[in-house]
Amino acid sequence: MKLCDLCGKKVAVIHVAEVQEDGSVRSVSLCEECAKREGVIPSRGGKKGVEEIMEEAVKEQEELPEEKRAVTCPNCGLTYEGFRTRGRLGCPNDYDVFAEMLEPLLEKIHFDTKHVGKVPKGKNEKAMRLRKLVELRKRLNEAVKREDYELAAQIRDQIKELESEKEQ
Amino acid sequence: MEKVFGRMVHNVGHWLSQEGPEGDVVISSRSRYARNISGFRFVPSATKEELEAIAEMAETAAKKVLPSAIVVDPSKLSETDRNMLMERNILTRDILQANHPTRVVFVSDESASVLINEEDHIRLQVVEPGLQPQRTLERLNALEDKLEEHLEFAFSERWGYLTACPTNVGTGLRASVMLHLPALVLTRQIIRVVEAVKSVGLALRGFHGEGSFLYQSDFFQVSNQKTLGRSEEAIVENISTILPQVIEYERMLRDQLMGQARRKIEDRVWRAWGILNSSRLISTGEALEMLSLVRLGAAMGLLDGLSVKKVNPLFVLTQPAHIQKRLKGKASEEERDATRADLLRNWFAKN
Repeated sequence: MKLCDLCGKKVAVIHVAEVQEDGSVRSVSLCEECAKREGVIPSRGGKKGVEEIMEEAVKEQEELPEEKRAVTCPNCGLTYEGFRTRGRLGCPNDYDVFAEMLEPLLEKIHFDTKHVGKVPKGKNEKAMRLRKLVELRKRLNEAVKREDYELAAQIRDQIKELESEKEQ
Repeated sequence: MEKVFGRMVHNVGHWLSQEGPEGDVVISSRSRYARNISGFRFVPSATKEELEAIAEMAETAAKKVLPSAIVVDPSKLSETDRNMLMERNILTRDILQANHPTRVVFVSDESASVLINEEDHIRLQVVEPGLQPQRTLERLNALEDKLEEHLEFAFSERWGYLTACPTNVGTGLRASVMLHLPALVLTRQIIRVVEAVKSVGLALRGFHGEGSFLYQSDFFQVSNQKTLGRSEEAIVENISTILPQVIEYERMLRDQLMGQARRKIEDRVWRAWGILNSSRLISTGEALEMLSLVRLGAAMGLLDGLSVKKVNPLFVLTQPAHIQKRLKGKASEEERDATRADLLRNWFAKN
């Protein structure tokens, strides 16, 4: 078994090619630790997905007073502390019952606390159109910022179309 | 049913058997919605009776939406069949380990599926070959609209579609693209891509790397992180804007490697080809590693007209449960490695 080129002690588990400045290629074999230290593979801590962000945000709520932890959903029986422990809600009603505590959590995970997008059919169509308009204007701004004028023009047309529907 | 599973050792889903747009780098595009039926508790709090009722309701609705679909109760399958579905990306580990009523509904080309009672009551998923995130979203929306004719989903004006985990609330949409990035891995640039993608709200994860060791192969999955406060179209648009840059980076590095280290790259690719065509015993891991090199060679036209499309199905067909299925009955590791080696040699010997 080949040993790590860097520490020479552990078994090499990853093999990488390095293009040198003179154009030649050197291959390097590294053990897991050296590979992490050299940034060839990220260490566990470096990877922060939504799940990790949520875990952290939940942990940060250490200071939460007892009465808030004890808030209980009458529908499913879950307490907020129970949610903090397992990271999963018990029923749709929890979103209302725990709203005050969930809001900062959702803000951290999604940078947003208001749904934009698909709405079940039959839900207030006017509300949906208004929401869509808000969303389109947000996307228009982003497209202009990126100087993606082609997309911006498309979005502008969509806005016009939606607005004309309103007048009918 | 046995026929369906028997065929699986020879064929893969549409998403892997066909070459899609940007097929030299992109394997497939996937979109899924998380939905819960209103009036029920979420899976983690529901009783077995509730979950059974949900499973029946959802199954009935799913069959109406996907009339020709195959319906499976994972708890009634053999371990090999269950693992095969996981290797084909139809089942998830969560549903495999569940100790409550679940169902899986999928169409025969595996381009659409419904997982029932995974983390949410319903996970509706659509897959297409290559880079086609928009198309997957269109199909997903069409299916969801139909599903909604039969089921009422938990929804709030403010939070959108309500899910068991707050990381999915809002659109409930996870859009992802599977990529083959051997040059980015080989030249260590992958780390920079991980960081760059993260800064625009996407996550890039190793596809085979679940353990402490992140990148166990050259395959990666890019997906949106946030599901709340952005519309479905905007989420997919973000992926469609960023992905071409990652793809171009990978292509540029492939060209650079060919310019600066042609012989070394050719040597590695041809050696891998040699191993796949001559070994008598080969493990899953070695096969994956060699297939990745051969796929790279095929994409760069190094292997005398061998196409990426020819190589792709092997990434699933050489997986442990698929090999076990060919063997019938309990087989030793050596028997499995021998069967895998035979499969590989025969596969490439044919045309």
